[in-house]
Amino acid sequence: MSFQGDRCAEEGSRVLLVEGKDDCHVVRGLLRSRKIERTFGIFACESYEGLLSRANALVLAPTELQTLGLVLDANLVGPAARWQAIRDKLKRHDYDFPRSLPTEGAVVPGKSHTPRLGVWVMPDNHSKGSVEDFCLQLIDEKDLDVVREAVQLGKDRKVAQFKRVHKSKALVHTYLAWQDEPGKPMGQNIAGGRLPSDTPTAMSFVQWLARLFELETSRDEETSHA
Amino acid sequence: MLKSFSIARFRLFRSLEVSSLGRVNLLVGKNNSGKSAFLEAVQLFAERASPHSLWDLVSVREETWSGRIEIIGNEEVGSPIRHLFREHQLPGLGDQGIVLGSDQDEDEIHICTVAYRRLHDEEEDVSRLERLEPEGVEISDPEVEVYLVAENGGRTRRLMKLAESGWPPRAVRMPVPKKVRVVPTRSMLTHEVADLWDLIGLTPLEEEVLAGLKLIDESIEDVAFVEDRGRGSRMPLVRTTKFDEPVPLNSMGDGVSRLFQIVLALANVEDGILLVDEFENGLHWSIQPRVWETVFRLASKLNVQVFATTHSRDCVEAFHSAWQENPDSGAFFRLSLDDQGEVRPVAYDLETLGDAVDTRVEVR
Repeated sequence: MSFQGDRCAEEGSRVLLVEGKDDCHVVRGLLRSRKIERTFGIFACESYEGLLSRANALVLAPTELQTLGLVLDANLVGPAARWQAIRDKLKRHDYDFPRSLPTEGAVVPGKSHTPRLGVWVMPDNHSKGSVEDFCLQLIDEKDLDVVREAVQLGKDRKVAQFKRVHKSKALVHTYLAWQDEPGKPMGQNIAGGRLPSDTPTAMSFVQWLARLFELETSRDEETSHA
Repeated sequence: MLKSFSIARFRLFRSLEVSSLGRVNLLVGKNNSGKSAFLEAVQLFAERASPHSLWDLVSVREETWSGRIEIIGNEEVGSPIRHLFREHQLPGLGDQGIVLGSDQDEDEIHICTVAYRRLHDEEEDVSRLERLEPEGVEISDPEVEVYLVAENGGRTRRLMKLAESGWPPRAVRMPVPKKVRVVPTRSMLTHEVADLWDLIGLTPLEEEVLAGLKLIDESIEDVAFVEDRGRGSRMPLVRTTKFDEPVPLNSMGDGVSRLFQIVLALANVEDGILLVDEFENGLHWSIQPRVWETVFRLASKLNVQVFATTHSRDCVEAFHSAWQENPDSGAFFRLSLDDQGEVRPVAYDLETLGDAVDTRVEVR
């Protein structure tokens, strides 16, 4: 499937909404790394509120979506609160939401005129965090320890100015700054195979995408899910 | 005020129900999704299916040509009224016809056909009609007459005799007072506009109409209708601060004329219903929010329920901003055609329409 124009502003009858461009590129990178054909568009909404608004409007859109996936961060409030916010926002559309967000990601069937709905709350539907925490789990532990020390040094010496809430982001970007092509986005590192895409969380995320969008996955992907 | 509205077997509608209507309602939908037909159904319902409103509806769409002939029983019936029925067919005797209803069960109207036998009383030299059961009616019998009727709450009102040659058919009863005003897609006729002006001239509503015109052009100070001797009709002139002499209102642009007609019609239908097809016609996007504000305000003040259609995203956005200011007064829905070609209403609440506006997701 090919899409024209902005790579993170795709539309169509099967769409994955993500908060930011980084999320968009991470998803693309993961699928490319795992050689899974992408049969859905990705749209970066630029904010959490924008994502919920767009989702709410898309459910009623005249094009009648088949599948709508939502990937959100849970950096301040945690996944349970995000899950509740999604249910509140989409309450008018008559979905049968499970009470709590399944750790393997939610896939809620659509009714006659509403799309199938998928929800994944970063990093793993269970912990507080964001797409950066999801990415941190892909970095080798020993490498990450070095990055942590460096960032801590920056904090101690008052060079690092970032707020506490952005710590994971600072770690990821510090790590990226040191790679062969400094500053190359996370998604490209994953796609290029310089970062693994087979950690348990990454595998679980890909399986959620596969279930939601009925993607063709390879045999080992299915067995690892079982 | 209609809180909900249901339509069966009218025009393209098989069966449709729209609940949670508001004081000011905006409909969207693709071409042929039934937006105009929805407005017509509201008109027909509000005018209690008067023969006059039936005639209005078929004549506006130029459906008064006598096209295909059809059969009720074994009689040929070519009435243009058939175009109002689903699949352009009059219901047979005993069949379900058009049903229009609201949240008030007792208001439901059923428009169908009934056969009568004309009985003559030679002594009194009068005749009367005896209703016949639909089964076994011999339509070829010269004493049998078929009528289009409106049934409502156990009462049957004969609207017009069918199977008569010539058009318009003889209407059985004349219409109820104007409870509905229609602003059509294109301009209203000059004499209609003049008549409306006469009804509110020298009343406080005149000020409202002038205030409406000022939304588009602040220089407008007053309106008067004068005889256009060449055409034998009266045309509106406006006095403005820009020119020394009055100028024709129609020379001030489509927006001024359109707004004048909308506000004028609204001011003339207190306690009734205003229907505006393709609201945005002639109105520049930048003034639409103020036009909608005026419509919401006047509709509330005069207890008018408004139904409008649009194709324009600007119009939807302008409507939304006025709805936000009047959260209890608006309703918005799309008529969508499903795979079987049946019309389905999709209602948006204020929050969802706002989300669609903010994120530029299509609603039409």
